[in-house]
Amino acid sequence: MDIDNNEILWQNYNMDRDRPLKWMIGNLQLMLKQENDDVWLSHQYRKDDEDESAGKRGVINNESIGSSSPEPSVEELERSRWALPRNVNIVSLKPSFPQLPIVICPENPFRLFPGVDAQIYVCIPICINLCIPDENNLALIKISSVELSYTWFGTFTEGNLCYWISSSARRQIEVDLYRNYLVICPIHIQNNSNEELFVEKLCLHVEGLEIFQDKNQLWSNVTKVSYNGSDHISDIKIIKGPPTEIPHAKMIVESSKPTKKGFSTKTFLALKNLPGIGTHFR
Amino acid sequence: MELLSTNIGNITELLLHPRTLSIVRCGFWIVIGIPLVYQISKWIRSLLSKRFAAQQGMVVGNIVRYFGLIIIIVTVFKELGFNLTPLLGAAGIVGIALGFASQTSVSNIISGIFLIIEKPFEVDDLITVGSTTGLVLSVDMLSVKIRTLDNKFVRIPNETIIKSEVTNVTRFPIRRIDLTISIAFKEDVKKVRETLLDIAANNNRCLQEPEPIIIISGFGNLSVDLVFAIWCRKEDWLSLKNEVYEQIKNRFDEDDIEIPFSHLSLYSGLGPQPMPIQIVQNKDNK
Repeated sequence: MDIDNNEILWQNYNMDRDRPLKWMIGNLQLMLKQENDDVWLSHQYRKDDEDESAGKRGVINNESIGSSSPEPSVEELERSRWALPRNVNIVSLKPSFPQLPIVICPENPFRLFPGVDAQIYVCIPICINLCIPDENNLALIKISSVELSYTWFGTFTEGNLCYWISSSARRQIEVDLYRNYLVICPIHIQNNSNEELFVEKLCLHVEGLEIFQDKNQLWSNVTKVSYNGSDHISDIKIIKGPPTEIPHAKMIVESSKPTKKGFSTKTFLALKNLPGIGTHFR
Repeated sequence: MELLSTNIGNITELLLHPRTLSIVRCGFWIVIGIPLVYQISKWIRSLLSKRFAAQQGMVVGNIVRYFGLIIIIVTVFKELGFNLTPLLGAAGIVGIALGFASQTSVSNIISGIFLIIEKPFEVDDLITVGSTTGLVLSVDMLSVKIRTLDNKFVRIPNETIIKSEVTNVTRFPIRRIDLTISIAFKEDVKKVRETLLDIAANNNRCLQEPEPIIIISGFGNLSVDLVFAIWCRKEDWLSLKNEVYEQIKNRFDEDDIEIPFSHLSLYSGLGPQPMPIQIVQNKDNK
């Protein structure tokens, strides 16, 4: 049973012994099949050359992702087997943010004059949790909808391992940004320093964000970033509640690390500005 | 009735006898005190391991356990009527003698304390000391126990570690893989550079930043030697190294980039002249 891409993904699904459940979410093909008393889970990421619109790794493309794709052979899939209680017939899909902070690299970097603020919209690919509601939401699999690559943000001794994505970082929200496997994260940047801010990369700490659902589109809270200069760390504040674009959206995922007040962290530091990569080689 | 009351009186007298009470108290210390000391040391170890490092929990837990046991032993001896003053005096003399005899052990203990304070590595870190590389199993008062990658158990005295150069391989979350690659002199280095960068760009486990680096390390006898340095998570280091080497071999084969190898040329007589070959016909073919 193929799940239509336009349906709301985040719901319960009945397992049927005769017909496996198949989802196509982002680059991910996920399949659940019951065989005797076992449940087989298999997944595969579509390669770039199978679907041009999927783009290169980590690049969140704005082109349409088609729901039809070549059926992968069993050998190509990564499979896992679960022995579940017999009375389990329902599974559910739940979204979550990736477990690491995200370094966002705007396709077209931009500059902010001192005292100026700007809001950008960034799309973050969600992680999919296939859960069993009857078993206390036990997650059978937690997997990203798009294969993400890693990067390092910060100094060699004090940095963080992060995921890396390239984004168009649009200033206005447009319907063509809408994808059921992406969370639209509004980021409000305020340049409080006396210097020009060149937004070439920024690190988004997703662990403090909640996920809101508006029809089939996911949104996060607004993150307010105050830049205080290159020698200072930035102040981050997460605005409670849904963004103004979707005031009545329903919160479906709480933040994994709630913060009552704001926090401060390095947000705009770029590693290539640091010494030691070339000179300390060997 | 009188006999019964006499017996009860005797039993009561026996139970209330100071000697009996001492034995009961000794029993209490042994039966309740020792398990309690072990339990408390276990709690402290568990609590400190969670809050700080595992080895700090281990060491403080051991100190608490030994200290508690010494107190129990001293108390039990005192209850049994032993006068500990001469024993402690003798212990002082024995201590001096032992001190001279156990300089190495004391040195190891002091080194162990420095190791705990300085914390150059923790339990489960991969370290190299001298020619030994392995995972740290424990950091004890006298020694550090290591499990080598081929599953050997190695005990290194703390003093040796303090005196030696120690490399903590897994201290930082990311590591660099240096891949040595040789290409034939006829190859276009620019094309090879693009191929290598493309391999890194298409591998999810290669970090985007720090960016991969390609350095020409020199001209060898047979080849142009390159170092291709990519960054990865520390847990991916070995598997990614294998994977990228395999990808390089496949891509070089696809793109007709030659990996040179040693050739052996045979000459006879004068070097510049080719080897003379004489064709000898069989008698049957005449």
